[in-house]
Amino acid sequence: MYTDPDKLADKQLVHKALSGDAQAFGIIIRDTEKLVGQIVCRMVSNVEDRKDLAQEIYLKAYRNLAVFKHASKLSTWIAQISYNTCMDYLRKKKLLYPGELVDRPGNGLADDVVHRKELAGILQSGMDKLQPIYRTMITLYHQEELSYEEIGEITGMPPGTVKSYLFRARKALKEQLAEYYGEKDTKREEK
Amino acid sequence: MRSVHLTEEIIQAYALNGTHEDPLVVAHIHECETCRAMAESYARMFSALEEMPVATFDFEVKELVLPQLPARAKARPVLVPVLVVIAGSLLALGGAGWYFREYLSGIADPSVPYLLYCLGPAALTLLVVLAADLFSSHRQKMTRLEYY
Repeated sequence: MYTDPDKLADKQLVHKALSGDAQAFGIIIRDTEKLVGQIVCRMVSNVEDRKDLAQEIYLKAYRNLAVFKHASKLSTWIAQISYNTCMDYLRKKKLLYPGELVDRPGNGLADDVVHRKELAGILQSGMDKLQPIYRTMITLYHQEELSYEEIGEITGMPPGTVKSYLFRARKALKEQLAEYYGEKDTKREEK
Repeated sequence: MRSVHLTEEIIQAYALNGTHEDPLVVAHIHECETCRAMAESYARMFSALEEMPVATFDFEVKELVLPQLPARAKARPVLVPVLVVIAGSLLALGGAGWYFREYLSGIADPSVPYLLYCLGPAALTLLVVLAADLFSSHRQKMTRLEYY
């Protein structure tokens, strides 16, 4: 949650950065680059493009610092810029498949490979098959431990939609792992 | 026990929290092998997700971004030296006026000494303003030090 000490530190840093203190902006970068990295690296696979995007994100943040109203955490605001910048990039590169969850071809898990890989590797492969948006949501929820509300702020979606997307993403990911766990796709009659 | 299985959504919620607000769901999970297996499978996946390596940039973001920052007009404390000069001049004038008050009262209008007496408080006020500004600047610098 957004606690008062966070707000105070954010305000001080923004104030200093706005008055031309580059070191203060350096601290903002240091404090947010992990979250920004998680978003950019999960959404964009091209390493060179990630570099350009990271630069674009922070320059956008710097240019728009004056309009940041402290309604959310500074990190959430920068994460929101990151997400939107990556979405623009994916749209421009036509790498976004609207309404499609896991249907990216050519990334299948071959049986022999599956059995040799460790769980983390399997999971990574499964993640790679997910749509960038779902991959990012899983990362933000399970790794960054953000709430549905915070993810909603970043992605601009209502918390209910985030919850629904996360459900589908987890389900898809679990199906990728089902074989590894030796589970049979049994027909279940749900209540 | 329920004759039908739980929905996957409920099972996910159970696996996320390790329990569920509905006691019937908890009871079902304990009794139904299929639903329990699925809940355990989700729990393993969530645990593995938390342990997955964090995706990080393989370059120094600060080094990349900071040199590109557009110059922002730095708020320079131009006012401080100006205020110091004004305060100093006023003090000097006030002091001189006080020291030579007898001569001045003799050669000038009778209202001049009273005017000179006003300069002292004015200079004092300026000094107070200056001191407050210096204190504020000092406090800001000290706060900034906490970040390094």
